[in-house]
Amino acid sequence: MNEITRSYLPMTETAFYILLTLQKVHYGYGIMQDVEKLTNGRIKLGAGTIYGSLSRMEKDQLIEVVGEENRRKSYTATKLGRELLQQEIARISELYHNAIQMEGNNNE
Amino acid sequence: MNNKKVFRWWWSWESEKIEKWIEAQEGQGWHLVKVKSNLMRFQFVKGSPRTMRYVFDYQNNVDIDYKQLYEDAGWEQVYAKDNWYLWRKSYPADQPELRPEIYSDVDSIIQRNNRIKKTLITVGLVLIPILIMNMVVQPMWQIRTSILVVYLLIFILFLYGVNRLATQNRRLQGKSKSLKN
Repeated sequence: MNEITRSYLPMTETAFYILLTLQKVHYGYGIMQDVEKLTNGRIKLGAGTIYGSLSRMEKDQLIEVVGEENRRKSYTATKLGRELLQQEIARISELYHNAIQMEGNNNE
Repeated sequence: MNNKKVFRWWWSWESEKIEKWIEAQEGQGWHLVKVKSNLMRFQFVKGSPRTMRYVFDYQNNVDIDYKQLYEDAGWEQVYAKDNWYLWRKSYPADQPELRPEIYSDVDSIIQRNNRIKKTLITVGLVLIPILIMNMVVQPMWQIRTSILVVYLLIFILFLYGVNRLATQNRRLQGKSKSLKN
C-alpha cells in the first residue's frame, strides 16, 4: 500500500459512504440520496464535497468512471477501493465489538 | 425604486462575508438578478423577501458534470467565470438549521482554501518578473520608487490573504482530526 492509499485510513465518513454506495454503479446525486437514506438523514453530503471527493478518489484510483449520460458520470469502486473499504470495515468492527464487550463488563 | 445596482469590493479570502450580505438583501426582498465586473457589481430587483442561501465556489478546470451535479442537488448557478462560481438555493425561513451548504465536511473547505491560496501565490510570483522589467526599463528614479511602493503594497496584501487562508485551514485541521469527519 502506498502513501496515497494509506492516507485514506482511518476513513472519513464521506469517503466511507462513497465507497460503500459505489459497490454498485452510481452517479453523484444518486450517492447523495443513498447516503442520506442509509444514515436516516444524519449525513447530507454537499454537492461540492461529493464533486471534490469523487474527483480525488478517481485520481487515486479508488473508483472509476463507468459511464456518462446527460452530463452525469457514473462511478463504481475499483478493486483497490473495495480492498480499502474492507480494511475500514474490519477496523470499525473491532471498535464495535470492543465497545460492546467493555459495555458488557461495566454492566455486570 | 424597484431596481438597484450596488458595487461591493471584497477579497477572495472573505467570501462568507459577501454571501451573508446578499442573503440579507434577499431577506429584505431584494432579489439578485445579475452579477458583473468580476463579482463586484450586484444588481437587485425588488420583490417579496426570500430565504435564500448564496454560496461562492472556487474550482480549477471543472468537469462537465460539475454544473449538473450541483443542479441535481437543487442549486441554481448565478455566476460562472474565471474559476469563480456563485450558487443559490432557497430554504424554509422558519428553519435556519436547514441553510444548505455545498461543503459538508471540513476537508472540502480546506481544499477550497488551498485552491484560492495557490492562485494568490501564483499571481504574486508572476508579478515579480513584471516588477523587475518595470524597474529595468524605467529611467526616472521617482517613478521607479512609486512602482516599487505599489508592488510592495500588493505583495503585502497577497501575503495577508494567504496567511488568512492558512490560519483558517489550521483551525479547520484541528477540528478535522478530532472529529475525523
